[in-house]
Order: sequence, then C-alpha cells, then structure tokens
Amino acid sequence: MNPARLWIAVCGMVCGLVPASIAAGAANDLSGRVVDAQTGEGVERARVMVQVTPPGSNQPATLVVLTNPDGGFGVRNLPDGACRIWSEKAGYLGGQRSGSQASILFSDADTPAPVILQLTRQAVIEGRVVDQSGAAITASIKLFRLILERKGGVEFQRDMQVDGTGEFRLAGLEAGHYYIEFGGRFDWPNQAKKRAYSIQFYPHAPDLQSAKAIEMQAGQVAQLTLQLQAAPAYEVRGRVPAATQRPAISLHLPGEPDPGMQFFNPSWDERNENFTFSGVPPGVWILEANFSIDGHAVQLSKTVRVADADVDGIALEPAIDSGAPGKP
Amino acid sequence: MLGQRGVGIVLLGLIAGIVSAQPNASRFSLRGRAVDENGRPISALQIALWDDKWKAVAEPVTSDADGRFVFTGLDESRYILGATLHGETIFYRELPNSGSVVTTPTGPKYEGSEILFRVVPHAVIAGIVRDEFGDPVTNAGISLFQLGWRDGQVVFAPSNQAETDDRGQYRIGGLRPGAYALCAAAEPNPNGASPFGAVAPQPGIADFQTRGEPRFYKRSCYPANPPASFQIGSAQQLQRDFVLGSARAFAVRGRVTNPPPETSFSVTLFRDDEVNVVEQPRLTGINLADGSFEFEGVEPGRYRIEANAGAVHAGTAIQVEGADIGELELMLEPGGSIDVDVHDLPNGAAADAVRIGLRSTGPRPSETRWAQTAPDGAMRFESVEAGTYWVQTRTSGSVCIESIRFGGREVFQHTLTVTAGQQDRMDVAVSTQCATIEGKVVSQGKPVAFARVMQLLTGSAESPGDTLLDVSREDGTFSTTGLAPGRYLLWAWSQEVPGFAGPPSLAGIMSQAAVVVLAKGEHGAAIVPLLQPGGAPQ
Repeated sequence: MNPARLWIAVCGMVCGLVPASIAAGAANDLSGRVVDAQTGEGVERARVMVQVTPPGSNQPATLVVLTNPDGGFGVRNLPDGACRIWSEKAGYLGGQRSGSQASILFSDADTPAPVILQLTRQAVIEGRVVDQSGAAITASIKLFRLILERKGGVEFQRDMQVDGTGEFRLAGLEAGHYYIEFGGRFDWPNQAKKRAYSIQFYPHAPDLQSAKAIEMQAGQVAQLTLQLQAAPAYEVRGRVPAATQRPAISLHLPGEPDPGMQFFNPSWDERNENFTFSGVPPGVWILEANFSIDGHAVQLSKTVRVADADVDGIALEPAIDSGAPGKP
Repeated sequence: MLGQRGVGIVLLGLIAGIVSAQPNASRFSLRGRAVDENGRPISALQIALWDDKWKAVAEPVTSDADGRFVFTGLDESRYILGATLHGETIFYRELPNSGSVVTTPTGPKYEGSEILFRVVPHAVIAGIVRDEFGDPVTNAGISLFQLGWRDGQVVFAPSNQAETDDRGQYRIGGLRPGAYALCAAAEPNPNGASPFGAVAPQPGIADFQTRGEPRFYKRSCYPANPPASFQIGSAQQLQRDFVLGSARAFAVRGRVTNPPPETSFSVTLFRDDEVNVVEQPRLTGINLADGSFEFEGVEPGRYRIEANAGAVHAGTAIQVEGADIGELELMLEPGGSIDVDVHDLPNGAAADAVRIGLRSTGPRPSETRWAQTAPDGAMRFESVEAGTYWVQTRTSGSVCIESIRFGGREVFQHTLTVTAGQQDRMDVAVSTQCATIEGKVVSQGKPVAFARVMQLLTGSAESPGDTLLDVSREDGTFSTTGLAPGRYLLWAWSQEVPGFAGPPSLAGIMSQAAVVVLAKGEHGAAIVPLLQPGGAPQ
C-alpha cells in the first residue's frame, strides 16, 4: 500500500478531541474508539459510520460498523480518498450534532493511530402536565434555550404535543439553560364552560422575562411537573366579507403559528357567514383567514385583544390602503 | 340526496353533517346514565353536548352518584354526546370506525326515556423497538392499520402513526375496538434521524474490500405480515415489542423521461401490498438534470413507483426479488382533463348538489377523485392519469342522476377510459324525479341498530362500481334518497363482531343480497338480513 499522508479536518467542537497524529496504516486501515465524553469509558455497540469518497468519484460508499465492548472499532483496506467518520448511540447526542466526527484524507498514509470519537450524553427534561387538581391534561409545550450571544437571549428549540396522559419527554438536549412555555389544549367541555388554560412559562410565570431557567448538565434527567390553572375564557366572533367561500380561519399567538397553541376550524354560521372561536383566554391574538379569489390565494390577518369579555363584530378585511384584496 | 338521511352518523372533524336536523321550537331533554364497561355507574363525569356541526349547545353537565345526567331546553334534533375521561373524549355509542360518531335523537318520541352511555376508555398499544443486538431503535416508524371494508373488499386502512423516542419506545392511544395490523420500520431517510438509521451495522472489524452488500433493517409486522391482523378490545393496554432483523436489500434505479422544461419532479416508491402505504426506502440520488434516481434498501416485495412533475405523471408496478432493478424508465405523460357540464339542474339547487368522481377500476381499492368546482360553478377534472375508471356520483337536494355521457357513450352505470393528454367533456343530466329506498336491517326478525349497510349503486357483485356505505339507525332503519331508476343490491353486517370487517367479496354473498328494483320517483322498501361473519344471513 502507499505510504500515507494524513490530513485531518475535525468539525465543530471536536477539533481538540481527535489526536493530531492520526495516521493511516499501510493498507489504509482505520481503527478507533468511541468513548463517553464525560467518563472517558468506551461506548459499547455504538454505530460508527465510515464514509469514503475515492478520488475521481462523487459517490461516497458508507460502511456502518459496531463498536466492541471497549468501544473499539476498525475498518481494513480502505481506498485512498476522503474519509469521514462519525458515531451515534441511543442516549447520546447525535454524532454529527455533538461534533464527534472526523475527516481524513488517505493518500500517502503513514503509521496509523486510533481515531477517538467522543459521544456526549444527552440531557432529558421529562414529566407531566397537570391541572390544579393534579389531573393530567392534554397540552402543548415549547422549549427555548438560553443563548447568550443571541439577540434576545433565547432560541426556540422545538415544540411538542402532550396527549391525555399528560406525560412529556424532551430528549436529545445539550447541556445548557432552558425555558419551557406550556399551555393546556382547549378541550371542548371547557370551551362551553368558557374556561381555558392560560399559557405559562415554567414554573408559573406569565412571560419569558419572569420565567425560571432550567439548568441541564450532560446526562442529566430532570423531572418536572407543569401545572396549569383554568382561567376565564371568551368568544371571538366575526366575519370575512371578502371571502366568497368559507375561508380557513385561525387564531394564534403573535409570532409563528404553533399548531398546539392556536385555535382553528371555528364554528361557522352558514347563513350569516360568521365564525366563532370559543374558549379563548385573555391575551393578544392574531386572527388569520386564508381563502382564494379567482384562483389567487389571499391571506388576511388582524390583531385581536381579548380582555375580560367576548369580542364581537370583527370584520376581517384587507387594509384600506393596499388596493388589493389581501396579501397574495 | 344520494346517501343517508337521518342516519345519525357524523364524520369526525367534518363540518357537513349528514344528519337531517330540522329543529322546531319545542324544548326537549336528553336523559342518560353513564356506566363503565362493567355496567357500574360513573359519578362526577363531565359530559358535553354538541350539535351536528360540533358547536356546543349547552353547558357541560356532571353525572350524579348513580351516573345520571340530563340536558334540558333542547330542540327536536340529533346531538353528539361525549364525556371526558382521563384526558380523552369518549363519544356515545362509539363504533369501530374512529372517523365517525353516532348522534343521539331528541324529540317527543324520546322524551322521558333514558339512554345508557357506556363510557369505556380507549385502548392503548405501546412497546419498544430494538435492533438485532437488543439496542433501542430511535425514530423508528410505527404504522397501525385498521381492518375495514371499502369498494367491495376487506382492506387495511391507515389508522395511526407514531415514532419511537430516544429509548426506542412508542405509544398509540385513543383506539377503538377492532381488528388491526401493526408494523415497525427503521427510519430510512434523514428527517431528524440518522441517514443510515436503516442500515444494519457490521459487528467487529470490517473489511472495506470484502464488505459485500449492505444489510438493511426489515419491516416487522405484528402479528405477521398483512393480511394477518389482531383484535384490540375496549380499554385494552397492549404491549407489542419489535425486534428488527436485517437482510440484504436491493436498489431500484431508473430515469424519469419527458419532464416539462424547468419543472422539478418527485419519485415515490409505494409498497403495493395489503397495507398499500408510501414507504420510501433510502432515496440516495435524484438528478433533476438528467432525470436519474436511485433508491437503496428496498426489501423484496411488490411496489409501485410513481413520478410526478406538475400536471404530468408516470407510474408502474415493479417486483423486487433477489437483484437490483436498473434502467427503469418512467415516461411522464400529461393527464387528461375533463369538463363536467351538469344539465337540467333545478333553480335554487346548491352549487354542490351534484358531485362527480372517478375511481380507478384497478384490483385494489383506490381513492375517488372528485371533480373540482371553480368559484363560477364550473366543474372539472384536471390531470387525470390515463386509465379506466368507475364514475362515482353523490347528489343532494332532491336531485338524482339521469345519465352521464362521455366520449359519445353512456357511462353512468359503466366504466370510462381516459387517455394521456385527453381533453374532453362529460355531460351529466339530472332529474328531480328521484327514487328512494326505505330499509330496515333485521336479524332473527328483530331490527339491528348501527349495522353497516352497503348498497351497490353501479357495477356488479363481481366488479363493484359505485358503492354507498351507510349505518342503520337505533331502530334498524335507514333510507337512501336521490336514486336513479335501477336495480340495487343491499347487504348489512354488524360492525361489532370481533375480527369481521365485512364480507371478503360481494360475489360470494350474491345470493344473500336484498334486491330492490326502482322505477323513476318510486319509493321502495328493503328488508336487509344481517350477514354473519361466515356470510350467511341471520
């Protein structure tokens, strides 16, 4: 085999984690070990992806190998060319996301040295969403992470729907500070009762500014109980005069519509072409209607403020100065 | 209306009620008693009532110590009754089909009577998916199919989907009793999951030169590959774990030809078996410039591959067994377009009083494609794939179909063929002299409530064309209006016999059909005997 010259590009945070003296064997053999980033112990049965793109080819070939009980792995007879290696294991952060990956160029290889891939254990936030009596409720959860470098300080991570068991699990988290926004889903009996669950931030804050950050370490599993209080809710009623057919209407919080924290498919009065949203908690909401006119999609929106009474008589119409029936 | 009138079934999530609700000014009550699966009363249960458009009509009530509840001040109408138990809504008299609820009547006939509301929690199925080494498989796709009946045969319809979490665990709740099949498959595509999640790893030291072909995790189904099914009962908590074995899988390669300029295209691979779902093996390459595509990790089996680019498409059936498939050519062809002209529609009829659909005559049930109505009322089929179709019709407002002409011939009771790029017109003549069937489902001389009623509108028992599924009312009766003159065959079966979703074919039970021959505007009666699972009438 050719003598080897090894070039290593290590991605992301892992630059210091892969030994600088990696070298391929005379036969372009590759060996290595997957270790737990916190304990340094080998990770058994981790999947190691070895992806090689031979010179002149744009079609990489990928070999997936499994580590032994010490976390070791090896691949023999790799061709010359660019080689990318990364590892994954359930319970750890994704190999590419955590940066435990390496790139190697086999050409004039020298003496091989083992590749060390570090896997970082995931953090997990799990628990239940309950009402004031402790009974589980269907809910929606939004997870934010504190990013000091970011303007505004937090970054949206993900959302999830919680079913009637109230149980939730947010896995695959990196170490850091997190905030949770949660709201009970607006179930039908409570709509009729004119009560709904207000949206809160963990533990019992009305907004992000007064919320408490949840500090998570690698490998930590935090158990939380998210408790919601039922509060008075109101109806939002109105019509969309420009629509010639029944429009799709939704009511959501400012920002990107979140499927779990919005109302859609309001009751519809065919005769008067009026819509009614029930069970809307107090707050500032964005009312949106989507329909088509002559084959052109039209979207109208309006801010609706719900305080301590039903909101009636809304006419969702295009802005007067737009000169068009809406925003195509 | 060609369909059910006053049947008492409302499709969940749909606004249009099938119920004929003509409220009058009278005020009535709805009395009931909530009990559990053993008949014991449930107290302090919150019970809500909606109209057939899902609008709450009263404040929720709470059952007393004997489980009793009452709603007062109601119109003579039909209502949807539901209770909240352990965070889920359970409706009155739930049937196996999770897409429907039974409505409850109110009025002078029902005043003073009490309904029994069995509030039984839905079933849950949960489990863990592991690989051949015993490790959890994350992001594995779980698909649950429910055995049902459609277009003349027993079919598996997609019921629920779930994904395993970081521990390989899944959970599907809210299940009604019925026959199901459950399948697990490793996620082959990088959508939040590893792009190599479906590739089985090699243990030990691997040799690149002698590595052989990659092995892929196989789909695993419980109790076995469809059509095997298992029964889920009321309130059951089932644990079903899977171990995904691996096997050599194959590649499917080919080219899409004839794409329109500057239009991208998509290629989709469907499993063409009883569960008939899109199951996309790893799409490793698609080249919009030369039209080439490649899937890898395709398990042996029967598939259908389709390419779509705007209004043009191509599709073919393929069998994968023992070798890669290469050089598959999918030539994109424009679909047909058909203008639908409805004649003789009476003044005042609703714009959607007549709906026309096309359903492929292929051996497997397929979705009906309905003509779209433009805001000006014009009806049109766009991009209809070349093929042969049964015409499907639905009417409302005392209107019925008299004839449908296409390509110079009558197609109302027959099939029609659409060729690639065909531009044509369909002439639909309607009448207001419509026939009606008033029927009753009976078993051993007694009426059967909530039985499935199947009416064959066109075609034959051997080759069903347009079929109408209905459900009998509380007193076993049903009615179908808006019928054209003709000979109709009807069957009925219970929806609540475990493991029986309906007759496997209509041809086998031809002799048990109730036959009604209707002249123009005639009201016909039908006594439909309840079929037993073996096919014989009761």
